[in-house]
Amino acid sequence: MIVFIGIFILLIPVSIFHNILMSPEIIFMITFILIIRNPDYVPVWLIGIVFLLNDFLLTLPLGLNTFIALLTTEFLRRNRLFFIEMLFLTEWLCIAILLLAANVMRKLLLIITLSEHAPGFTVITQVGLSILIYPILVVLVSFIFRIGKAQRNTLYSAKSIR
Amino acid sequence: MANIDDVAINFTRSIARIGLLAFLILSFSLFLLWRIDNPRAENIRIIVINRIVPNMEWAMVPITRVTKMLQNFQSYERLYSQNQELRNELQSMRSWHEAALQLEQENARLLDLNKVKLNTKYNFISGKILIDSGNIFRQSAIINLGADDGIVEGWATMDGLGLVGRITGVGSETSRVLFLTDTSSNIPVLIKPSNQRAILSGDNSSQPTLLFIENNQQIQPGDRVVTSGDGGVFPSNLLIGKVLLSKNNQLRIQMAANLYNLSFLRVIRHSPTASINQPNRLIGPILPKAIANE
Repeated sequence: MIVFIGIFILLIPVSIFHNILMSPEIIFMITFILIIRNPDYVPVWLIGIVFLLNDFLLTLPLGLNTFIALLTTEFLRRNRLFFIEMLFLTEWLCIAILLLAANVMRKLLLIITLSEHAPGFTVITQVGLSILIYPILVVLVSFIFRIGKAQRNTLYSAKSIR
Repeated sequence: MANIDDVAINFTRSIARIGLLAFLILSFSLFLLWRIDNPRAENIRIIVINRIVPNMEWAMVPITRVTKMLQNFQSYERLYSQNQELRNELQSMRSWHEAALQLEQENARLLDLNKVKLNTKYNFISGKILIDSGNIFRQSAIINLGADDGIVEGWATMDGLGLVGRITGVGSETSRVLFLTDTSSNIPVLIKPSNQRAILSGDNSSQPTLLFIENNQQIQPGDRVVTSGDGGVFPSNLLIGKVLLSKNNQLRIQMAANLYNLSFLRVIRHSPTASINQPNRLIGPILPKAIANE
């Protein structure tokens, strides 16, 4: 429970910084990292509540980010075992593709509903920046929450027990 | 034993799946609501903000402390250069002071000649910023004043020096300020020595652009820009900033207000001037109904 509150506090004020680097993508990436490392830290309801709050407080389109976050994190959760076995570089690449996909989906939804959306160039630079700082985030998050990727042998042993 | 464990795992799995579905449907329907009935969705947003933000201040205290510490540290680093800058500024301030005194005397003489009756000064309410929720897509802040304090949508807000933005959403205890730098902010302005009218349009950068200028040649970088009061949304003659010429020959504005270091805002109380919407209001006072109906 303490961990949940920790994540909550970590996620909310981050979104309040007045800085280009502190964009909504950061929250996405922190959630991705936590899901790959330890999915118990980020249950579905927590993701839902945090992203909904984020949408409400930052005057983003209501519910849009929540919807996309739930879909992408569910995808990650299902394919978690592959991500655990990956080398870091491949993981980075996959996360980058996932982030891009999330942004394309957001853009498409906004275009389909004919609502106002940000110019493409800023979106691209923002996503690029976020992808670049992914390793830093990984180090920070695993330091703060004291988690790492599960080791291969422990993973297999856990499987074999089941 | 293994069987019971499996059942338990399946059970939690299915609960998680139902939760996921519920959240998905909820968020998507919220998005549709936001798109279809935008005013109602924004009202819901304001209600939620009104509930949450005042209760969340404790969580922000450490964050604001840390950022303040960092800022202090940076200012120590720049102490020497700042000192020099201040000296220079003081020098130029002295000359301005002299100029201001002379202008004041001249103004007093002219007013005396003209017998002008001055407007009553706009009065203002000061509020504290609760969340500075600027990101690169939305430039706005939430302040701790609301309908209970008499705030009305559309009022102008300033920091100590210049215009910051306007009120765009009012809850009972909080309200939202849309900055001039936001893409959806377009306001009529007056560029001072040449009296050119233009529209100041935000584009999410820290320096909003000037559009629809009548005559570009008459504008020099460094000219003062104030609100023109056209359209009746803002009072006229509030300082915004000075003109800049950007690298690609675009006219932009260096804002007088310091958007990156805001902590308090002044909300300017003003009532819009009476609008002229009937021909008989144009000349003379309002006629009694019996005469007006003839």
